[in-house]
Amino acid sequence: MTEHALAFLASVVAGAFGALVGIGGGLVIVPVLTVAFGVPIKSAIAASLIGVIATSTTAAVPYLRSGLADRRLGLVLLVATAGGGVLGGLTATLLDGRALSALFGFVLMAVAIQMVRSADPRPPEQAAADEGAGILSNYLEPTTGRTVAYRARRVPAASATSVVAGAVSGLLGVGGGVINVPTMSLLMRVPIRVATTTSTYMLGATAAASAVIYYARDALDPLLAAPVALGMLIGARGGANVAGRVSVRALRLAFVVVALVFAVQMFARVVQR
Amino acid sequence: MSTPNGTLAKVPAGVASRAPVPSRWTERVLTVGSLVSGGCFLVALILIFVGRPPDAAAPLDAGAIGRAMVELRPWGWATAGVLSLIVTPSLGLVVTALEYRFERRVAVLALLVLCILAAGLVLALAR
Repeated sequence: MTEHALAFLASVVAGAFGALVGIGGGLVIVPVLTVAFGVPIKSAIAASLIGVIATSTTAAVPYLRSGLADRRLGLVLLVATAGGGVLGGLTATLLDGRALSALFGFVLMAVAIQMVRSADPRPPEQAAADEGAGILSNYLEPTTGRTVAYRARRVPAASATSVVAGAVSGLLGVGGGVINVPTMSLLMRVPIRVATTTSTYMLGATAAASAVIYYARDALDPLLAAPVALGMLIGARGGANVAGRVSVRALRLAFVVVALVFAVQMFARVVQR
Repeated sequence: MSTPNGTLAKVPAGVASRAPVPSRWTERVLTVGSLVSGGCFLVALILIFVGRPPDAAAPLDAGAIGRAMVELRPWGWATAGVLSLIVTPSLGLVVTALEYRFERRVAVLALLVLCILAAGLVLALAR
């Protein structure tokens, strides 16, 4: 009972932290479960994927209702991320736990470095909607009440990147938003608001593509997934509610430190056994 | 070509000028799915906290899952929550395909994603 209560509390904190720094709870909860609770990494990844589905499924509803999530664009990229998710899930069930720990350590370090580099980001240049090829769309900007037209460009290149996002999600139990959002925002020149909401809409199906593989191969422990999913969901909602009242810059800095500590711990697990 | 709900650039003009495609049914499916799974997880956690034994059974045995739920065993409720959550995005895609039935290209994309999810399950079971 105690371990389930602790896993639930840790997931609430991870979900809130992930929502506040904008990386999702998976990147936090997998190392917490693995390093602090001694859970096998494949079980931690599988439980995290269930948490990702829960968070995405719940968060996507208001984005769909408001029209901020671009379903057409999302479905185009989902073909790639779902394919990547299947590949990632199948590969993860074949890989040794130490290889997954090493991969997770590298991804944590990469995200931490990226977070330091983008501490003061400039808004990406948005392409004119009335020229060139791509997926034409628009949305109602809630802060101004104006309709913003945009054209999602470089669809083939973005689809290729999305395969990688899906594979990383399936391999490591993270949402894939850390790749999806920059892909849509920087590569396709989609407005950041549409990129983040569309990514949230995509994450559920992407994570489901690999979660079903973990489940079918008996690598998913429902008794671990239950507290993790519920905790991540509650934490993500709480984090989103207090996002305006806390210093996101300080939290990002805290994440960089925590991510580097966890990365070292993950690498240590590779050489320990 | 710009419409209130956007459109694929190569969609014919007649299709592009169609009214926005409402996502009401997809929203409902996602809401019901997350409520059902969240409820199952909550029951599982309460059962664990009141001291019910957290034993497990075969994950693909529907009968065992049902029996465990009736016997108020945490594993049964947690498994039901996991399965309903995994199924929810797929059901959302089915409904999305129906909502976009007049915009065939988008409907086909939704069904293609569904096929990829099904292929993943088949590959996972074929060991």
